[in-house]
Amino acid sequence: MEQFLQVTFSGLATGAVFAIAAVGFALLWQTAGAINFAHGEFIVLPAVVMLVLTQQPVIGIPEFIPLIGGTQLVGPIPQLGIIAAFAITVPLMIFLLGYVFKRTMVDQLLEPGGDDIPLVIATLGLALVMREYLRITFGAAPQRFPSPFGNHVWNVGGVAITAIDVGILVVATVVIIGLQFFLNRTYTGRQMQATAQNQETARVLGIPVNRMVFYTFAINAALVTVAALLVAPVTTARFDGGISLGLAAFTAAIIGGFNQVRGALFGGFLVGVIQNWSGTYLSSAYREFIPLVLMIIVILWRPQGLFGRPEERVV
Amino acid sequence: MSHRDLIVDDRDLTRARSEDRGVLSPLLIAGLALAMAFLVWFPIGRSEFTPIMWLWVLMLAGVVAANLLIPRASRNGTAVRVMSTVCFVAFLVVFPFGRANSTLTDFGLYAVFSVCVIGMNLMFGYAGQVSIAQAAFLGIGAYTSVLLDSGREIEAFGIVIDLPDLNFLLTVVIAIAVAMLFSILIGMAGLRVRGPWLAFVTLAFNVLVYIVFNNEVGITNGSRGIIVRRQDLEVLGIDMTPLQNYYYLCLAFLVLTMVIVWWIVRSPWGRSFKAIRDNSPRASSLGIDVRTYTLLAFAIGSGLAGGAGALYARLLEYIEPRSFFLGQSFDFLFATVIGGLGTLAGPLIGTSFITIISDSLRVLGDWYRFWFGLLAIVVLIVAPRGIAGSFNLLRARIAAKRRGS
Repeated sequence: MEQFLQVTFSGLATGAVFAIAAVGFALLWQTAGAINFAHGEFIVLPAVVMLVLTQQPVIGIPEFIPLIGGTQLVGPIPQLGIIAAFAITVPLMIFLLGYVFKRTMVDQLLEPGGDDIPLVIATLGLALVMREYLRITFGAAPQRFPSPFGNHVWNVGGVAITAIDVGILVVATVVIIGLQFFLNRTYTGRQMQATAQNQETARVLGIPVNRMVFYTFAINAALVTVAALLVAPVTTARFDGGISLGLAAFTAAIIGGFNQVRGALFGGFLVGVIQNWSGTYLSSAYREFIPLVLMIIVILWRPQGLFGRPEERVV
Repeated sequence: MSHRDLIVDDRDLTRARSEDRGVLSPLLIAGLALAMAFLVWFPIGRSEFTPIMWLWVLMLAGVVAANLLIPRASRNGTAVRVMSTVCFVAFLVVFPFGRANSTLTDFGLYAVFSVCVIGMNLMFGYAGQVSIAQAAFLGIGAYTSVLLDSGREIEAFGIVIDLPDLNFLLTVVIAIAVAMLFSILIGMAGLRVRGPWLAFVTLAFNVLVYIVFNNEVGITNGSRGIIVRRQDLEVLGIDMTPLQNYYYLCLAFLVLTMVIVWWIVRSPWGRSFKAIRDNSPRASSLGIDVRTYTLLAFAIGSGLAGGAGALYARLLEYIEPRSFFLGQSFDFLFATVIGGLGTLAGPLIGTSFITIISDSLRVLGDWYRFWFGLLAIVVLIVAPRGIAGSFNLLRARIAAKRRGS
């Protein structure tokens, strides 16, 4: 029983990170129509940036740039605390993973009413590019990431509760409630939801659709940075960590229902808990097995997800 | 304020983006031609750059020029097409002959992977549904074939089973059948609703297959892999121990696949595939059973990968689960896109980027895969028809200009 509670609790903490990641994935899909298969790498990039800012104030120049390539500049950047690094990383990511990503890839590949497959493949390519870039410049070895919550462990009735897990759950809850408040209670949030539900109608109603779509990208960039801050102390920062993270976010969004924020939330927690259960009671090798099987069953049985609204077929 | 935004949005909507992108594709072709010219200064594969290479370069230039300048529809156009195919096959037959084993392995991988990419192109380029599990089918084919002709003992769920020692060609057929069976099961889930669902289901399937390969140690020997000796392997009375003989078997398989796919694309099936890709509601109103035909394209494409897997195992004489993970499937996907969707030549061009060219470009060192991924993105944005499609576009423009003058 104690083991069960233990496993479930840490599963909820893992699931909270997946939930944040899945909400970003689902928001992009629903509002912008963009299916982003580089989502896992979107979480790894801010983790690496924060690590560089806190631990090694060094800027490396990629080798393919002639003459100065391969050198490392030891900049006058002082070592930062993790929270300060986070504060710097969020706007940087909003620019890179929000603005640049939207303008260079999504706007080019997503035509209104067009096929979404080209963007799917392009984001797979982006994932490869980001992974390779990080592997070569940042290195293949996993790096320890400082925990913003300390390393205290409490013992509650035989269940070990770590400060990291508690911190993850608290921060995730705050972020999710804040996001829900923003989406449901503010004027801009309502406009965003209208855009997500029906772009044409929103346009006719005078909602600045393009700006709302950009806000979605910005929120997604902020969410992946939060997810990076929460997950990297547990998984360490590694160049290929994005594969399993992206897979979990995507599985969670599909299971829960990609067109509802609460669906993706529920899916995230569900995937986290199931992964931990099957990792403990079946075999650690099969951690990722059951959620994927569940996802295939959900697609077979309810393609809109457990919480999703059925979509009208657009011809 | 909102009114101004409305106008801006409308302008964005009416801008025909695909037209804009088409304009740039001849530019991309010119860039690639430059890159290819640069390439011939480097040794192809790991073999030496010999004077005879100039003969091949000359032939390539001749084929390209003939294809570019002679209109496709004329009688000469047919002759050009036949000649190009013959030159291509002749290159694959003659060039690797008597060369080092590393070159033969490169070309063998080219033949085997080409079959996978042709299968993917049949599904994606002609039927319009994307599968991300081509490497999984390659792996299923490889393990099926290896387990069935080795006579080894496996242990599954505590039961020890003695496997048969079947004829190699028979195991290839079984590998194709098993891959098709799996693809039909997967396709029934993924093709229920139109949309990107098949991509999701196949992505999940590839990870599932990898997990099984890696952990069912009793059957697959896990991450340590299985060594597959080519000794005593005889196909139609020919000893396959020398790599060179085996390479020609792979090449024969590639040529056979090309013939079959060429025939499928021209058959009523192929026309149905294209009709579904271009306008699926219209196709179904014309009486084409959209789901069955898409499933059929998926099954054929996956079956080809299964057969390729059986050949792949003996080519490298070693298989391990890592070779069949997502990265390999993505490579096939990028090769399909770079080569050109929905064309017969596209997969043959695209595959060279993940086999022969990647070895010539050792100069880029570690960065090769980075540039490869970037190339896939750039092609998708700038020239969505890929190299072969852009080439066709260029030829059409040249023909139009001539008619005009």
